[in-house]
Amino acid sequence: MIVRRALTVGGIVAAFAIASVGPALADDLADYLADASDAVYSGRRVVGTTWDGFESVGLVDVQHLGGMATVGSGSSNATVGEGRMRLNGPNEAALSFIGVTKFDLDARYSVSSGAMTEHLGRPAHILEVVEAGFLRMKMIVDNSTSAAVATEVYAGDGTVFRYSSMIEFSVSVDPEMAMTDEHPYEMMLPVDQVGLPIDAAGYQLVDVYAGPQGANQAFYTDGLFSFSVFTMDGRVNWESALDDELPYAADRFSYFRVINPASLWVTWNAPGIAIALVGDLPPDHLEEVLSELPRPGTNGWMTRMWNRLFG
Amino acid sequence: MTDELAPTWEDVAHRYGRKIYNFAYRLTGNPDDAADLVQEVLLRVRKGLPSYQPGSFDGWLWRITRNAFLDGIRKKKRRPESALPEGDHHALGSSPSPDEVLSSIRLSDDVQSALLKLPYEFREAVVLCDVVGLTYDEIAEATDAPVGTVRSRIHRGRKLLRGMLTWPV
Amino acid sequence: MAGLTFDPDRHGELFSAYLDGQLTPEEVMIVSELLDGDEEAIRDFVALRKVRASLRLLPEFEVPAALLPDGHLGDRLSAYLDGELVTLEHRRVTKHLVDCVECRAELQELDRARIAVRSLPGVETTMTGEIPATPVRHRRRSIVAGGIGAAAAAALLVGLAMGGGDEPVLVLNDLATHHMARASAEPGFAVLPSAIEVVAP
Repeated sequence: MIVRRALTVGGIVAAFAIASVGPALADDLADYLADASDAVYSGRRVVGTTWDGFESVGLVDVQHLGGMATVGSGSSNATVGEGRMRLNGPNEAALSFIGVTKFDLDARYSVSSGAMTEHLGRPAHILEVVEAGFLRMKMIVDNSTSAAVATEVYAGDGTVFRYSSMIEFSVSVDPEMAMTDEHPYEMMLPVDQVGLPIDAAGYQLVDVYAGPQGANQAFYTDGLFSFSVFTMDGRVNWESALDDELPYAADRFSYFRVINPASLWVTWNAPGIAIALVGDLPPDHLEEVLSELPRPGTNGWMTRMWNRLFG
Repeated sequence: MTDELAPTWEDVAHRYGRKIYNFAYRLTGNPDDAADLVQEVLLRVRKGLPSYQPGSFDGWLWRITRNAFLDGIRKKKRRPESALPEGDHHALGSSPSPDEVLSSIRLSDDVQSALLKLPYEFREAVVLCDVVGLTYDEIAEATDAPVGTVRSRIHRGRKLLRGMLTWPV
Repeated sequence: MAGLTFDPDRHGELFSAYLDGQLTPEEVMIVSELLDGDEEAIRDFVALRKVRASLRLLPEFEVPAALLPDGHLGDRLSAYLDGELVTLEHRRVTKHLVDCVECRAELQELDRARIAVRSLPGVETTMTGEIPATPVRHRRRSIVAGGIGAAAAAALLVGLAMGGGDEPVLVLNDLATHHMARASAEPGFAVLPSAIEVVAP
């Protein structure tokens, strides 16, 4: 169950105890991410996003093993990892992205570590991900499993944008997680380019897929954060469609957004196409990305004139 | 893509079914696993055909086959069999005893059991080359590996097999 | 290239590739030179050839007949009735149904069974019981038992307003699922907690 609310003053405080800098334990973010992928653990995790005074928080059970995570809440659970996802419960789905094009971590990220600390009584250390001199993300890494037991992602102004924290943690996983699964996966195969930019604000367009319901899914990543841009011919009445949508203005253009604990959804209509962006990128990245995607507009001619004059 | 140009699911089944079956059989030594794989691959081909973009059909098909195979293994065990990291394995078993010297009648059984002792990447490369008959480029596309790696895996697989098999003088 | 010393690892790989017909002309020359009088090289080559031949002589088994399609529709009928087949396959199935009495009969049986289930209260249905002549746009069910109320579930459904004709629908939660699945192939997936939106909307 996800809770969404508007925040009053105060917001979130995550407890990152900073001691003096300790020995470097991982000097390569790519290596660390690989270690984290192999971590074996289970527990409960709180995840939340705060953005422009709104907060969205959720609690989820997690089992993590061999690059795959089973994430559950109530009657639904999903097993996700390595390009495959199996969603069980009221909405079933089984997707597999084969032939995924590899993309290396963008050079703008570097990592430094130090600061021994503790999380749930377990020895851990802090990893800081720096993006061009700016602290973008901080992680508390469990020493024995390499799991990221707590994380904070910062917005451009240094405030906490997204955070997560394991509130229960165990190094064992439910043996049921390894149970066989009879259902076939729907395979998503890459298709040709759809006329979106290959590069948007440091994110690369890696692959385009024939997505659900006739939309195309263009997947972008910078090696750390990622998002998908779904495009579909026509117009969608976004305003009346979703209860949880909030208006969102970026650089004088109007969009709608849904703020979820671990991702954001931004929706709009550009001339001739309806667009939805789904991803976990921080808001300052998002604004730059939006400036490179087709802008909201109704009439192609009007939009082009507007952009030429003011864009 | 028009109806006439695209192979139908039935075409694929009849034309490639045997190769797919033998691919799985030689990789696992198990006829049930092989049958399961054929079913799974045909199912995925059926679902994927509508959005298949013309290109290398064999490459596309063998990617599906290989992924289906790995998914099958993953579902059963969560880890592919004998997934030793490539650079890091040692001689397999001891040299064959006189009892294990091959007679021509037992030859294929012994080759099969020797195949099963290979680390997965080598076994797969050898099977795709010598059982399925793909070129190095096709294997590279199917396994998402560079041709040089494919070449090396095939050779190292064969070399290991040679160490496990002996022939009468 | 006079006086090449045979190196089993490096040159063995060349022999293997030579046997597979995958060498460049330059590499073929190296192989010829190595095989010209070097006993160790020749032994290695012959042994490799034997291994390769044994593999290629392995008997090829027939696929059990039950696995191959017999031309009938089988379990595609179910998918057809659910409107899950995309256009091309849908047309093929329709065409087969026009020609095949057996499959038509099977379709009717299946359909009867479904309608019986669907007449139970609370179950949504879009079935008409007729075989559609043209491809059907599938309307994805979005009602979630238990967790979400109908209002919120409807909130996840977005209507595409088009002038006349079909009304395809875009389910936002579906998009999140697709993004999640694809993002899980990326290294960052290990540290950016995710999937919560698709299991606990």
